[in-house]
Amino acid sequence: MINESVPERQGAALVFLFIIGNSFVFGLARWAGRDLWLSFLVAIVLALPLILVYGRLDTLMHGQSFSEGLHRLFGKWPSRLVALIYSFYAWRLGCLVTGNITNFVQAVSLPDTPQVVMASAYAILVLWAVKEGIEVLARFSSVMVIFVLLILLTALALATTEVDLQEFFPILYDGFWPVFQGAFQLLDFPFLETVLLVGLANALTTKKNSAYKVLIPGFLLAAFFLMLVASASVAILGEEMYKITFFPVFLAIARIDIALFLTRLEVVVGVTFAIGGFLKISVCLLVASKNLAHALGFPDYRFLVTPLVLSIIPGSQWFAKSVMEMNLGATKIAAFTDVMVQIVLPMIFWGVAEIRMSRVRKNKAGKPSGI
Amino acid sequence: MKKGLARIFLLCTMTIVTTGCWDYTEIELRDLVMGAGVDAEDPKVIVITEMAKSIGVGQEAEFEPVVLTTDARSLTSGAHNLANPAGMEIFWAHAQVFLVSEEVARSSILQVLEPIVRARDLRSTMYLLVTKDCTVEEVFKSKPPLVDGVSRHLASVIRLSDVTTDFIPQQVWRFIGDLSSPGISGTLPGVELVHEGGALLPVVRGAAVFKLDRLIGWLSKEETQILALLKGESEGGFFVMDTEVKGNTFPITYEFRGSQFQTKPSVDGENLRMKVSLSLQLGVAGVKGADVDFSDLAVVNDIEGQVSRSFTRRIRDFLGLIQEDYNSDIVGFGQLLWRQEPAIWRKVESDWDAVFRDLPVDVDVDCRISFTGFHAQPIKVRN
Amino acid sequence: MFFWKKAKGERSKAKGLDRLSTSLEINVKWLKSNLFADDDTIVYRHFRTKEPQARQCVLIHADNMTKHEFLSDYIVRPMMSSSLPKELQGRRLIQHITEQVIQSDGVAVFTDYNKLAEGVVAGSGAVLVEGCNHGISVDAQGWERRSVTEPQTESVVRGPRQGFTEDLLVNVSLVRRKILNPALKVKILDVGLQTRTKVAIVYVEGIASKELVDEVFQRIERIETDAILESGYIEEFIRDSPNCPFPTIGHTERPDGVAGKILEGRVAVLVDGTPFALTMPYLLVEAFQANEDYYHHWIAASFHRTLRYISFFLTTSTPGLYLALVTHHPQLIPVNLSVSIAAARKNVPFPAIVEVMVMGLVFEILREGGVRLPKPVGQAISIVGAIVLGDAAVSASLVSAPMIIVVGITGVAGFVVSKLNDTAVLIRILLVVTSAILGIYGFLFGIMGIMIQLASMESFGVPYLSSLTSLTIQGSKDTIVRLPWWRMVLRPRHLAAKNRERLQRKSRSKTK
Repeated sequence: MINESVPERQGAALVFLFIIGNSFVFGLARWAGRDLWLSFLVAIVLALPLILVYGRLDTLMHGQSFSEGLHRLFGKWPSRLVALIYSFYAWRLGCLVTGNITNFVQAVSLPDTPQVVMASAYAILVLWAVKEGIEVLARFSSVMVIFVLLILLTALALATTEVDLQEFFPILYDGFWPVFQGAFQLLDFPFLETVLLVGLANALTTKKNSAYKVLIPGFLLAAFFLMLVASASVAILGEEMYKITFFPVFLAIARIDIALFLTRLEVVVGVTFAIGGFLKISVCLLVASKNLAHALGFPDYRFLVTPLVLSIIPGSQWFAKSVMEMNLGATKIAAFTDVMVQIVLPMIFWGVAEIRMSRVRKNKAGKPSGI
Repeated sequence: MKKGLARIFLLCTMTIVTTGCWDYTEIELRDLVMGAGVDAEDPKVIVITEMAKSIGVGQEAEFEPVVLTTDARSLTSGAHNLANPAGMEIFWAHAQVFLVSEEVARSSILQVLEPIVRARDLRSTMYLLVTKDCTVEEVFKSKPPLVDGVSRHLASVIRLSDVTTDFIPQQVWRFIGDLSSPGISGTLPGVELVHEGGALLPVVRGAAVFKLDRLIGWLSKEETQILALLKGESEGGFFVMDTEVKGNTFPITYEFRGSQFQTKPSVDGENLRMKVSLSLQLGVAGVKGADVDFSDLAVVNDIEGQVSRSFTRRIRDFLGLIQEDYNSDIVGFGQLLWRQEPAIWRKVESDWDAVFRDLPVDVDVDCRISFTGFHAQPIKVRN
Repeated sequence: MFFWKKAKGERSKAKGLDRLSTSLEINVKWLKSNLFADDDTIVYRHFRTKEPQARQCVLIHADNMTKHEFLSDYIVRPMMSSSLPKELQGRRLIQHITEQVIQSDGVAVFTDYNKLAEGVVAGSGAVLVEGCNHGISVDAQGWERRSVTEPQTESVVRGPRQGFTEDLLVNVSLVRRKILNPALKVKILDVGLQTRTKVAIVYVEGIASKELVDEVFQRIERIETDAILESGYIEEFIRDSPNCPFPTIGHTERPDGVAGKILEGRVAVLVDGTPFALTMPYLLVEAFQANEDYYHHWIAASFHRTLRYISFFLTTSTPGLYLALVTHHPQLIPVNLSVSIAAARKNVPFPAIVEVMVMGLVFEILREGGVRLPKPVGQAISIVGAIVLGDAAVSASLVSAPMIIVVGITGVAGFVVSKLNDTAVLIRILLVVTSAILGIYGFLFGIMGIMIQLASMESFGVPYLSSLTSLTIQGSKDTIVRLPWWRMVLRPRHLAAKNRERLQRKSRSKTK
């Protein structure tokens, strides 16, 4: 059959940009150093079942938003509480990403521009995009994903002259522990942040079971792409430089110097960061406002968008006060909430939802008239 | 009505937030630093920069290098102090070379590297050089013959590394990588001032040998050639060797046309050995005053043997120098061991210096002459 | 919108009499004093039919709107040479005349003055006979028409040399000649309270979706305005996102262009009095397509397409990027280039942003001046532009030389995508402003804003970016590249959702 343009691909593009988002400029799986590709493989293997659970949840809640699905599963008050947790998680993530970008831009290219200006510029764009809704975001990302892939792959291809594969040896000199440390970091940030897309993916398409087609390709593509970028950075910079700089990918791309002309390409990193980060903030804020509306019992979420989006301007300053802070990553409390939100709660939802579904099915089988 | 209000609000935010171009600076108001360096003057450092000053207008604009000097307690503060005499915002990102005086390098090169890596606008792709027998200031004040400005001159010399092995170029980030990786020490190319036709010219040659972050000695041009071969960075260059052909000795000029190089650690009981095998492809670039017939395979084989023996000897001498005299693993035997035999490295890691000093190295050079120019036979001069 | 709230039947009627009288004299008098008062171009040709039953008749027509020979040969002469039977009166007489006397294929009978007047001003001849309160209107339109020539705005190297003219029916016939298929439907509406302009809606039944055709109909029917003088009037009334400078309705002067569009499931609207046909829905990719793309080798066509996308990027972005790099990020410019830019700017008294803005403005002024000037004068403009503003400004250090290059690239690249020229100017200004504020990030914010706007736009229910956002090969076969015809198996998904295959199975691989 002939492939047709299907919105699933737009959704996958959205997932791809969401995961790439702000993550790729940082030294992902820093602890694993030269073994980070192993961390990536481990993290992908560990994350896939969870992503499948997210997809299953999406399918079970077919046609409903995340909060509606919660409502059906748990009833009014518990669902409101959970929605509040997710809303806060999404909002906090949005603030973090904004903080990442403003800090990055200030550290790398615009030292005198106040961060609040960058944050405000983002807030305005995000406000606009979130009000337009998820379809517009998906279309936006399916155009941008081509740009991003094109410029980053070109930059990487040009950087191959600097790559030294010897940098990956010796393998596993320091044992498995750093690899797992790196893998867990990858799971927390950015792989399982995909949990926010539960309930959004199926808004893109009316077909059943298409959540998998949105989540899995988007996730795999993003994960392999991140692995490629991080590994290339290690192979270019060497393990030590990768570990000691804040933005190793930026530094790696800056190495490129072809004929004195194709040089100073590090700007493509900034471009990708700005685009991916924008998409991620928008998705976060969309999820935050939808869930907050449910938690507070409002039928429509749109009027919550403006205050929530504007609140990321101070929020970003609060959550990412300095480059060091955002680079050191999640504090212990944050790690706890992350595990709850990304793993524990989705598993509970899944279990409950499956039990309910099988009961419904049994009832249907027992009483052919149906409920 | 509501929408209108929101728009007005947005407009106001935009105007308030964006009425300012914080990082807007005209390019002609920035002082473009082409190269910089540090001299020592205990307890202060002297920061020297070479900047581009434009003369002429419009299409006839040209550039003239201007050297500014200041002393300060640290490199960073010195760099900032320069803005005052320069009278413009100093713009570092275009600096291509960074010179360190031998004195500074001997005390610790980290004091220079650290601010460079930390600074936002100093690029770690700058080439690092160490001045030999002269100060950085003297180098910057010399007059290169063809190119305006010492920095540009040095940068273009460094780009010659494809065709010469007099030095091994080193960028800041790579040098830091060498310093912080296990089992390898760093080297930096040296700059000397040479009298040439009444003028002082900066020449890049040789290498400064580091142990940890301190300079401990120098390699000559010839030794650097061997180092380049052993590090696999030799891509071109020529050398002259007295060669005996049929009882007569001629200086023949050879050209490097390629080299394969392999180092293999081997363990024999408790004894660790290194085996260095090098295969060279050479071309004959010139024969001085002789009739050497390169179509005679016996002659060629003989020459190849001589070159191989000569290189074996030179490599042994070189290894002796770095193992015993400097005791600095600039070839990276330790790194190789770490990468290929991590189990052994784990045992010797703690006292690698001692192990390296006594490390037995087998050298095996195989040399092939693959190209003799366009002449198979020498030009015959007859009556 | 308030203009369609007025009831439709309010068109002004003549006061007093509205039905024809049996007396020819009264009829003519009434016409001369009321409907056609103060109109000297109306011709009243009085004649009598043949004896013995001679009757007084009058032929009324508007001068130069009709074919004179036709009127005299097929109306006046047969009527003068025929004798009408005596027993026939009124309606039966008129029927006799239309059936047996007048030799024309287009006749209609009317009974009121308004119908008469409408016919006469539209170019038909009206025949009134003494004693009948019925009249005959005969199609005799004949006015000066421009011949079918190659369109000025869309000339091609290879391709048909036909362009639309100002005549609606000629234009419809040009389209019909391309699609010899009864499924081609043409529906004609009258739009404009004063002008009563004929507007034809053209589509291919079975390919264009029913909903789309209905939507176009409804939107056009809702227009109640005085005048439709050009298709641009209709475009503004019915387009989506009316405040966005990106076009959501396309226009073309070429019949092959219209044929190609409606065969993909679009609807075309042809308006009497203008050679510009409208096509809808209009997607962003269409601005980068030229009909010649489909006549050339697909690789060459794809190359030209790519060139157009690059040009659009250049014309919108060069000034902004230049500004961002020079004023915010000189570290991103190669060393030697930044040194020479700094040298060139050394004695220029204006900040770079002012330079960019002023030079951009000057270029637009030159362009606007050149467009509407007669050709001989237009050359003077280019001389002034090239020599005075280019060379002299640089020598006098008023403008830096790199700036002239930037303006030059911007201008030349702008001509490549002429359909988006006006849009490009606005985008350029936006990007210059954002770049001046936040450098390359400001530039990016500008681009992202534009992308959000584009992603949220629709044209007649079709997403404006569709086919750029499909991320599949079949979906993007006709976007930045044009695949060969034997690979374009399906019609665009959003346009022809139900009837998708346009390539029969046996020609799906290269025909040998």
